[in-house]
Amino acid sequence: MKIAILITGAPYSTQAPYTALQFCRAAIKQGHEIYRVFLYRDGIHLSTRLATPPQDELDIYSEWQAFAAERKIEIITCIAAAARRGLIDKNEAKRHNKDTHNMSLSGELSGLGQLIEANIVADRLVRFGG
Amino acid sequence: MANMNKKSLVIVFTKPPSASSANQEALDLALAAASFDQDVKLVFEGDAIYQLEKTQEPGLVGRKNLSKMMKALPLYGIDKLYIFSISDSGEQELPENATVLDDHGYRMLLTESDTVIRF
Repeated sequence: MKIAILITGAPYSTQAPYTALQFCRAAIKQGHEIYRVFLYRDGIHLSTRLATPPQDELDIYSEWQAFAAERKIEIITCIAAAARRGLIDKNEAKRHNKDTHNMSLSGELSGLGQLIEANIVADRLVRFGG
Repeated sequence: MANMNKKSLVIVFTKPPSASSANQEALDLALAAASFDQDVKLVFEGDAIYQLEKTQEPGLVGRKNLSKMMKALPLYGIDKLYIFSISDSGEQELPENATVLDDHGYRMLLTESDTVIRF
Protein backbone atom coordinates (compact mmCIF):
# COMPACT_ATOMS: atom_id res chain seq x y z
CA MET A 1 0.00 0.00 0.00
CA LYS A 2 1.17 3.54 -0.78
CA ILE A 3 0.91 5.73 2.30
CA ALA A 4 1.16 9.51 2.54
CA ILE A 5 2.02 11.05 5.91
CA LEU A 6 0.80 14.38 7.24
CA ILE A 7 2.46 15.71 10.39
CA THR A 8 0.81 18.72 12.05
CA GLY A 9 2.19 18.40 15.58
CA ALA A 10 5.41 20.15 16.63
CA PRO A 11 8.56 18.22 17.52
CA TYR A 12 9.34 17.95 21.26
CA SER A 13 6.11 19.77 22.29
CA THR A 14 4.08 16.89 20.90
CA GLN A 15 4.68 13.21 20.26
CA ALA A 16 3.40 13.51 16.65
CA PRO A 17 6.73 13.42 14.74
CA TYR A 18 8.05 10.45 16.74
CA THR A 19 4.81 8.48 16.47
CA ALA A 20 4.85 9.18 12.73
CA LEU A 21 8.43 7.90 12.52
CA GLN A 22 7.53 4.70 14.39
CA PHE A 23 4.51 4.25 12.12
CA CYS A 24 6.62 4.70 8.97
CA ARG A 25 9.24 2.20 10.18
CA ALA A 26 6.55 -0.36 10.96
CA ALA A 27 4.75 0.25 7.66
CA ILE A 28 7.93 -0.23 5.62
CA LYS A 29 8.78 -3.35 7.60
CA GLN A 30 5.43 -4.77 6.55
CA GLY A 31 6.09 -4.02 2.90
CA HIS A 32 4.23 -0.73 2.51
CA GLU A 33 5.59 2.31 0.73
CA ILE A 34 5.80 5.79 2.26
CA TYR A 35 5.02 8.00 -0.69
CA ARG A 36 5.68 11.38 0.88
CA VAL A 37 5.80 13.16 4.25
CA PHE A 38 4.12 16.55 4.33
CA LEU A 39 4.68 18.95 7.24
CA TYR A 40 1.89 21.41 7.98
CA ARG A 41 0.88 23.69 10.86
CA ASP A 42 3.33 23.27 13.82
CA GLY A 43 4.69 20.14 12.14
CA ILE A 44 6.90 22.40 9.99
CA HIS A 45 9.28 22.89 12.93
CA LEU A 46 10.67 19.42 12.25
CA SER A 47 12.52 21.00 9.31
CA THR A 48 14.65 23.42 11.29
CA ARG A 49 18.34 22.65 11.13
CA LEU A 50 19.09 24.69 14.26
CA ALA A 51 17.44 22.55 16.94
CA THR A 52 20.00 21.33 19.48
CA PRO A 53 18.40 18.99 22.04
CA PRO A 54 20.54 17.95 25.07
CA GLN A 55 22.82 15.00 24.29
CA ASP A 56 21.00 12.58 26.59
CA GLU A 57 17.66 13.23 24.86
CA LEU A 58 16.25 12.06 21.56
CA ASP A 59 17.18 14.20 18.56
CA ILE A 60 13.96 13.74 16.58
CA TYR A 61 15.18 16.16 13.90
CA SER A 62 18.26 14.05 13.08
CA GLU A 63 16.31 10.81 13.46
CA TRP A 64 13.84 11.91 10.81
CA GLN A 65 16.56 13.27 8.52
CA ALA A 66 18.51 10.02 8.72
CA PHE A 67 15.42 7.87 8.19
CA ALA A 68 14.26 9.90 5.19
CA ALA A 69 17.73 9.82 3.63
CA GLU A 70 18.14 6.09 4.19
CA ARG A 71 14.72 5.22 2.82
CA LYS A 72 14.73 7.96 0.18
CA ILE A 73 11.51 9.45 1.50
CA GLU A 74 10.55 12.92 0.34
CA ILE A 75 9.80 15.40 3.12
CA ILE A 76 7.91 18.47 1.96
CA THR A 77 7.38 21.41 4.30
CA CYS A 78 4.44 23.74 3.67
CA ILE A 79 6.00 27.01 2.57
CA ALA A 80 3.16 29.24 3.83
CA ALA A 81 2.91 27.54 7.24
CA ALA A 82 6.71 27.70 7.55
CA ALA A 83 7.08 31.37 6.59
CA ARG A 84 4.44 32.34 9.17
CA ARG A 85 6.42 30.48 11.85
CA GLY A 86 9.89 31.73 11.00
CA LEU A 87 11.21 28.77 9.03
CA ILE A 88 12.74 29.82 5.72
CA ASP A 89 15.28 28.51 3.25
CA LYS A 90 17.96 30.36 1.31
CA ASN A 91 15.60 31.39 -1.50
CA GLU A 92 12.93 32.70 0.86
CA ALA A 93 15.55 34.58 2.88
CA LYS A 94 16.66 36.31 -0.30
CA ARG A 95 13.08 37.00 -1.42
CA HIS A 96 12.04 38.47 1.94
CA ASN A 97 15.34 40.21 2.50
CA LYS A 98 16.19 38.29 5.69
CA ASP A 99 19.74 38.02 6.97
CA THR A 100 19.66 34.26 7.51
CA HIS A 101 17.81 31.01 6.96
CA ASN A 102 17.20 27.91 9.09
CA MET A 103 15.60 25.28 6.85
CA SER A 104 17.14 21.83 6.84
CA LEU A 105 19.35 21.47 3.77
CA SER A 106 17.87 18.14 2.71
CA GLY A 107 14.19 19.13 2.86
CA GLU A 108 12.11 21.17 0.48
CA LEU A 109 9.59 23.99 0.94
CA SER A 110 6.54 23.76 -1.28
CA GLY A 111 2.81 24.36 -1.40
CA LEU A 112 -0.30 22.52 -0.21
CA GLY A 113 -0.61 21.11 -3.73
CA GLN A 114 2.07 18.59 -2.72
CA LEU A 115 -0.23 17.32 0.04
CA ILE A 116 -3.21 17.14 -2.32
CA GLU A 117 -1.13 15.29 -4.91
CA ALA A 118 0.15 12.86 -2.27
CA ASN A 119 -3.45 12.22 -1.19
CA ILE A 120 -4.44 11.49 -4.79
CA VAL A 121 -1.56 9.09 -5.46
CA ALA A 122 -1.50 7.33 -2.08
CA ASP A 123 -3.96 4.68 -0.94
CA ARG A 124 -4.08 6.22 2.52
CA LEU A 125 -3.26 9.55 4.11
CA VAL A 126 -2.31 9.19 7.77
CA ARG A 127 -2.16 12.31 9.91
CA PHE A 128 -0.13 12.77 13.12
CA GLY A 129 -0.75 15.70 15.44
CA GLY A 130 -3.59 17.24 17.40
CA MET B 1 -15.05 5.71 -15.31
CA ALA B 2 -14.25 7.63 -12.17
CA ASN B 3 -11.64 10.32 -12.38
CA MET B 4 -8.53 8.77 -10.84
CA ASN B 5 -7.23 12.20 -9.93
CA LYS B 6 -10.26 13.15 -7.92
CA LYS B 7 -10.75 12.09 -4.34
CA SER B 8 -13.40 13.04 -1.81
CA LEU B 9 -11.89 14.89 1.09
CA VAL B 10 -13.71 15.76 4.29
CA ILE B 11 -12.11 18.55 6.28
CA VAL B 12 -13.39 18.69 9.85
CA PHE B 13 -13.21 21.95 11.77
CA THR B 14 -13.28 21.34 15.53
CA LYS B 15 -11.89 24.53 17.04
CA PRO B 16 -13.58 27.84 17.88
CA PRO B 17 -12.68 30.83 15.71
CA SER B 18 -9.79 33.18 16.56
CA ALA B 19 -8.35 31.03 19.36
CA SER B 20 -5.74 29.39 17.11
CA SER B 21 -4.65 29.14 13.51
CA ALA B 22 -6.61 25.89 13.11
CA ASN B 23 -9.56 27.21 11.12
CA GLN B 24 -7.46 29.43 8.86
CA GLU B 25 -5.10 26.58 8.01
CA ALA B 26 -8.01 24.17 7.53
CA LEU B 27 -9.62 26.67 5.17
CA ASP B 28 -6.34 27.16 3.29
CA LEU B 29 -6.22 23.41 2.74
CA ALA B 30 -9.87 23.30 1.66
CA LEU B 31 -9.36 25.98 -0.98
CA ALA B 32 -6.12 24.38 -2.18
CA ALA B 33 -7.81 20.99 -2.52
CA ALA B 34 -10.79 22.48 -4.33
CA SER B 35 -8.50 24.33 -6.72
CA PHE B 36 -6.96 20.93 -7.52
CA ASP B 37 -10.48 19.82 -8.46
CA GLN B 38 -10.96 17.55 -5.44
CA ASP B 39 -14.40 16.85 -4.01
CA VAL B 40 -14.19 18.83 -0.76
CA LYS B 41 -16.72 18.77 2.07
CA LEU B 42 -16.42 20.87 5.21
CA VAL B 43 -17.80 19.77 8.56
CA PHE B 44 -18.06 22.17 11.49
CA GLU B 45 -17.97 20.11 14.65
CA GLY B 46 -18.46 21.26 18.24
CA ASP B 47 -17.21 24.76 18.98
CA ALA B 48 -16.17 25.21 15.33
CA ILE B 49 -19.83 26.02 14.68
CA TYR B 50 -19.07 29.54 15.92
CA GLN B 51 -16.86 30.04 12.85
CA LEU B 52 -20.15 30.34 10.96
CA GLU B 53 -21.30 33.37 12.97
CA LYS B 54 -21.68 36.23 10.52
CA THR B 55 -20.60 39.10 12.71
CA GLN B 56 -17.05 38.54 13.85
CA GLU B 57 -14.20 40.93 14.45
CA PRO B 58 -11.12 38.69 14.65
CA GLY B 59 -8.95 41.72 13.87
CA LEU B 60 -9.51 42.80 17.48
CA VAL B 61 -7.39 39.85 18.59
CA GLY B 62 -4.92 40.03 15.73
CA ARG B 63 -6.46 37.32 13.58
CA LYS B 64 -7.32 37.40 9.90
CA ASN B 65 -11.01 37.68 9.09
CA LEU B 66 -11.92 34.44 7.34
CA SER B 67 -15.33 35.60 6.14
CA LYS B 68 -14.02 36.49 2.67
CA MET B 69 -12.54 33.03 2.30
CA MET B 70 -15.77 31.51 3.58
CA LYS B 71 -17.77 33.51 1.07
CA ALA B 72 -15.46 32.35 -1.73
CA LEU B 73 -16.14 28.66 -1.03
CA PRO B 74 -18.98 28.30 -3.60
CA LEU B 75 -16.68 29.76 -6.28
CA TYR B 76 -14.36 26.84 -5.54
CA GLY B 77 -17.21 24.36 -5.85
CA ILE B 78 -17.67 23.92 -2.10
CA ASP B 79 -21.41 24.57 -2.06
CA LYS B 80 -22.55 22.82 1.08
CA LEU B 81 -21.39 23.07 4.66
CA TYR B 82 -22.10 20.41 7.24
CA ILE B 83 -22.66 20.93 10.93
CA PHE B 84 -22.22 18.32 13.64
CA SER B 85 -22.46 19.99 16.97
CA ILE B 86 -23.92 19.43 20.39
CA SER B 87 -23.24 23.09 21.16
CA ASP B 88 -26.24 25.16 22.07
CA SER B 89 -26.78 26.44 18.56
CA GLY B 90 -30.46 27.19 19.10
CA GLU B 91 -29.95 30.93 18.95
CA GLN B 92 -27.45 30.86 16.13
CA GLU B 93 -28.49 31.75 12.63
CA LEU B 94 -26.98 29.13 10.36
CA PRO B 95 -25.89 29.80 6.76
CA GLU B 96 -28.45 28.86 4.10
CA ASN B 97 -26.16 26.26 2.59
CA ALA B 98 -25.56 24.49 5.92
CA THR B 99 -26.86 21.00 6.62
CA VAL B 100 -27.10 19.76 10.20
CA LEU B 101 -25.90 16.18 10.46
CA ASP B 102 -27.18 13.61 12.93
CA ASP B 103 -25.00 10.65 14.05
CA HIS B 104 -26.11 8.52 11.12
CA GLY B 105 -25.67 11.27 8.55
CA TYR B 106 -22.18 12.07 9.83
CA ARG B 107 -21.19 8.41 9.74
CA MET B 108 -22.44 8.13 6.15
CA LEU B 109 -20.53 11.25 5.11
CA LEU B 110 -17.29 9.88 6.56
CA THR B 111 -17.86 6.39 5.18
CA GLU B 112 -18.39 7.72 1.68
CA SER B 113 -15.24 9.85 1.69
CA ASP B 114 -11.70 8.81 0.71
CA THR B 115 -9.88 11.03 3.19
CA VAL B 116 -10.74 12.78 6.45
CA ILE B 117 -8.52 15.45 7.97
CA ARG B 118 -9.40 16.98 11.34
CA PHE B 119 -8.26 20.41 12.44
